[in-house]
Amino acid sequence: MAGKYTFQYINRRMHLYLGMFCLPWFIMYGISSLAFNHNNLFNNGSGQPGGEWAEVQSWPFKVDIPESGEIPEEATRELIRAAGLEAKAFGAYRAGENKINIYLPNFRKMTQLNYWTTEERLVLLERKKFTQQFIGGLHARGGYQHDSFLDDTWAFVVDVVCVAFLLWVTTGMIMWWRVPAMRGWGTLALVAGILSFGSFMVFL
Amino acid sequence: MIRKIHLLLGMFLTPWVVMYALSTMVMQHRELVYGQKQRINPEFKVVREEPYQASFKTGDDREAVALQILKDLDLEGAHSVRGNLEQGKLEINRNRAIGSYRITWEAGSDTVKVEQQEFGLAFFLEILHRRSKFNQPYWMNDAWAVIVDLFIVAVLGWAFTGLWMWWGMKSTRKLGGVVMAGGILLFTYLVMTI
Repeated sequence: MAGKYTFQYINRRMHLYLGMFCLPWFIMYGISSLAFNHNNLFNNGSGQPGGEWAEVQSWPFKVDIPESGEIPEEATRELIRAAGLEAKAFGAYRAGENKINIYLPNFRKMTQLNYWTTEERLVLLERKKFTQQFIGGLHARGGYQHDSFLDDTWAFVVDVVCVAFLLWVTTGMIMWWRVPAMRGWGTLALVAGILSFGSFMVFL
Repeated sequence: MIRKIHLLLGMFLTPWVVMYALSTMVMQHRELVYGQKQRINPEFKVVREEPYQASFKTGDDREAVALQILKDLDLEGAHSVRGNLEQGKLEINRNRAIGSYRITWEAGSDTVKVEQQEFGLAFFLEILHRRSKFNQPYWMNDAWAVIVDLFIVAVLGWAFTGLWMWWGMKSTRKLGGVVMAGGILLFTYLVMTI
């Protein structure tokens, strides 16, 4: 029994089980990449995902935000609270001279807040049609910047998928080298891939 | 045959697999990589200022003008344009994988300024990750987009050929099934809750 757990055995099983666990992310990244590479095929060729943002409600509201530089997290939280929303995952950026955009990543509902600094007006917007945005959101979601355990879990799995990609390469190559009949073809494919990639780096 | 396809696709696409894995990690850990939340774009440095005589007029198509300037400078390739002829200034970003160029043309000036972006590994990986689409009139750009499509097909192909091979090995069916079910449950739970 002890002899069963050889390096080759562990290598093959790691290759397999990593793939089995990451399968949903693997399929998701595959399908969602199509929407990025062919975005002209979506939304009547506009390339814009998810349809138009529609205003739902607006309020007069005053919050202190510096004219330039990073938007303070507490100010962003205050705006989210003022809109009556609860969000653990959010981010804010300047979308124009007087406009702050607060994005609220959520797989099931597309909402965002706009704060117009000169008018001191807060606007809640929604997207009704969000299939492509949902797909894009799955692909783009990541990072540990949100104060949320579940968001961190998602980010952790994304890291696992990245490590899995690198391990598939190494474990796959180890398995390939053990099949003498495939060494020639494998080398040819690998060299062709490296040369193609290198050419793109020079001529793209 | 399935094993061979699974293997050879993997061998050919190895550079892309490594690039997508490393670039995703960079984007996930920007604070660690750049020391701040946002990506840091490397600086552009002037590489040359060339004499350039052109008779562009207000009302000319800026895209056609940009193409002409790139052709004259022997820098044709994927690009984007900012500014317009009415303002008397065009800024052309010639987007390359390594060392993009920024070309500035100004009406009334008899030179064009060519700047090149310095290399930054993290920035390079992020830009490569985002590079896709058939949106430029250049075959090299389309060829990259074709490879991206091939990568997508390969990813889905690896998933399904992997499942096929797993099902063929009776000894791994049970544990493989449990591991796969764990992944599916976690994925579904996260999509339904965050």
